[in-house]
Amino acid sequence: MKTSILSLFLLLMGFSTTSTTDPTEIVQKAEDKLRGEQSYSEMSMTIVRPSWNRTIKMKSWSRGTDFSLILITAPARDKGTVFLKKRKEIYNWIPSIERQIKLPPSMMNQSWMGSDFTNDDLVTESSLVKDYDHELLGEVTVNGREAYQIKLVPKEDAAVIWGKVVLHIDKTEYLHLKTEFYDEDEELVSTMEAKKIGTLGGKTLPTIIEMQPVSEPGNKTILEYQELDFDVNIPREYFTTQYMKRVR
Amino acid sequence: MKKLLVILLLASLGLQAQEESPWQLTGYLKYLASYSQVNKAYFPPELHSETSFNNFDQLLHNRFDLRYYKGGWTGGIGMRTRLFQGASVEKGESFYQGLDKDAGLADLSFLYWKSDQVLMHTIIDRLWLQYEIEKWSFRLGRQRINWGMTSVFNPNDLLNQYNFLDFDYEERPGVDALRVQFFPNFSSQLELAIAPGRDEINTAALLYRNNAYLYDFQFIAGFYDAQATLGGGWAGSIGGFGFKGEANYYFENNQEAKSEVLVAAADVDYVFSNGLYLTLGYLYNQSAAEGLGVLAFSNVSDGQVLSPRNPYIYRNTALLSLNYPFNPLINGSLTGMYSPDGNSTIIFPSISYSLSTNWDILVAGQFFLADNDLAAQEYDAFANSLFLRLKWSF
Repeated sequence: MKTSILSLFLLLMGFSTTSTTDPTEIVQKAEDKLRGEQSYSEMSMTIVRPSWNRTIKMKSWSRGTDFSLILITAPARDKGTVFLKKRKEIYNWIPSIERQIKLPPSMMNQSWMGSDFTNDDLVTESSLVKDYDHELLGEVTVNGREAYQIKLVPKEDAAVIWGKVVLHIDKTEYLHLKTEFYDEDEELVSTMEAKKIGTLGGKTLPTIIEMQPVSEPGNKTILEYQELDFDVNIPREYFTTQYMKRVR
Repeated sequence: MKKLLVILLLASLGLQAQEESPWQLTGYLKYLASYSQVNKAYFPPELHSETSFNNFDQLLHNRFDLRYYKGGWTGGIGMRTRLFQGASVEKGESFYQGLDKDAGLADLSFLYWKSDQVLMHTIIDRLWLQYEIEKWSFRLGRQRINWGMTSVFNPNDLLNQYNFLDFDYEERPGVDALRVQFFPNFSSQLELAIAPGRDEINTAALLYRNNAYLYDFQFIAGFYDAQATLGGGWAGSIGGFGFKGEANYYFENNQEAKSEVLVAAADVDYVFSNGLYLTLGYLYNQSAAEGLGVLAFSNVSDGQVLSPRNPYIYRNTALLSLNYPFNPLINGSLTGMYSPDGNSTIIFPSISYSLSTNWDILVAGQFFLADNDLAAQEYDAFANSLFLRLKWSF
């Protein structure tokens, strides 16, 4: 569920200016830069269905893949709800009853707040670099930007849910412009695409990202960043059950 | 009261607009209709004429929660106003008295419109001031102190029990207390809470909580209603399952004629990949009288709050709870509680639907089943309640 959006950044972003054509190195660049870094973000997530849509707004703080804290700021019903991920433990703070609830580890398996993202997309412990073999398919244009198209096939012993992943990484900024997720039968399951590139925290990053499941046309989840800053220093004490109760 | 309302509104209108305003106002307006039907067969015929077996109630329910933040200081006030109409109001005096009752030190319960038809009641159930500095936190006033770790039954909640069936009281009652918290490091905390005079019951307790090997654990020592009590709890996991438990033991006090009591609860929970959230739990409550069967149901009706020493109506209770988000708009839940005492069973299904961003509709039922002492222990429905609720959050 509402565990961490950090890995989303890991999956989606990367920036470097050195040019290379080794696919593993390209993927490494798109991932490496952010590993172990800290971030602060303000974002909204809109779940779009053919007959309705709902938006959730949140603030998020993270430190590496181990620590993250998410504060829901809208809608009114859920405002003030906090999720804390502390290594392998997840806590939920319910402001109306001022109660801290420890969530079961299996909470990680399910879809993230009813969106088209699964937790594996978000807090994936698998590594795009280590768990896959990489093959450069060529150079393509995605929404007017030059990109490397790289095919990822999971290594035999890797605990990965996808049968194949195709990345499209921006040639100059090393951003994930488009990612296609395939199941074990090589059927396309969903597509994640950077819809808008902009400046966040002084860096060129995707500001709007869409996740679209192939089997359900008309369904998608849109993430829009109002703020995203990797150049922050977030104290370790933010990621404690004590701080979870006072963050706002 | 009116003055207070005006202040709250002004505070919110004037100041909430800015993002970093020190004021924060939240709340909701709800409409709840409830219909309940009690099975005549459980009552001796001589009571039939004076008992109403079919009842319809409706109420409007408003809540304001206002916070003010300044440096290390935080102030909080929460108030709940309900306008009742229906069968409960027609009960008259017995209903007013149960409603207009403040268990705390100050009487902040106001019943200011009372007629044969309608009843309006406001209670301030949060009113506190907090100061935080480095590793310390001090809070004085009416507040909610939750120490429990398990999902439904919380023997460790010495200060704030609640009634699980009173689902419309989402915030649960507060307690007049002083709470001091000390956080020596990232994972541990030491806490002192003193709550004098709640329903003429004095409570004081110390809690120590820490975390090791992915388990939170806590120890509690204190006094509750002239009895010394020791307790503890944990929240950890086994594989993907959450595994939690808590217990409190109350020492015998012969002078006050209080016998020893053990209250213990444990549960496991699991979230399936489709979002289904399953909880299985158990409560042992030595305080509960045995053999009450169906009679015990009356002790949880009408929003009555149980006590930490007697947190539920039966000695042995098994709990199964399922929660399933059908999609981001529709959420279903089903809770069942079973006690071998009279085969007493409570089934509590509910389904909620998000009409728009801030509007929700909820349909719920509460079904009480038990053996009928008057009909050769036949297992049947004792009472059925249905609820329809519309909620606007702000």
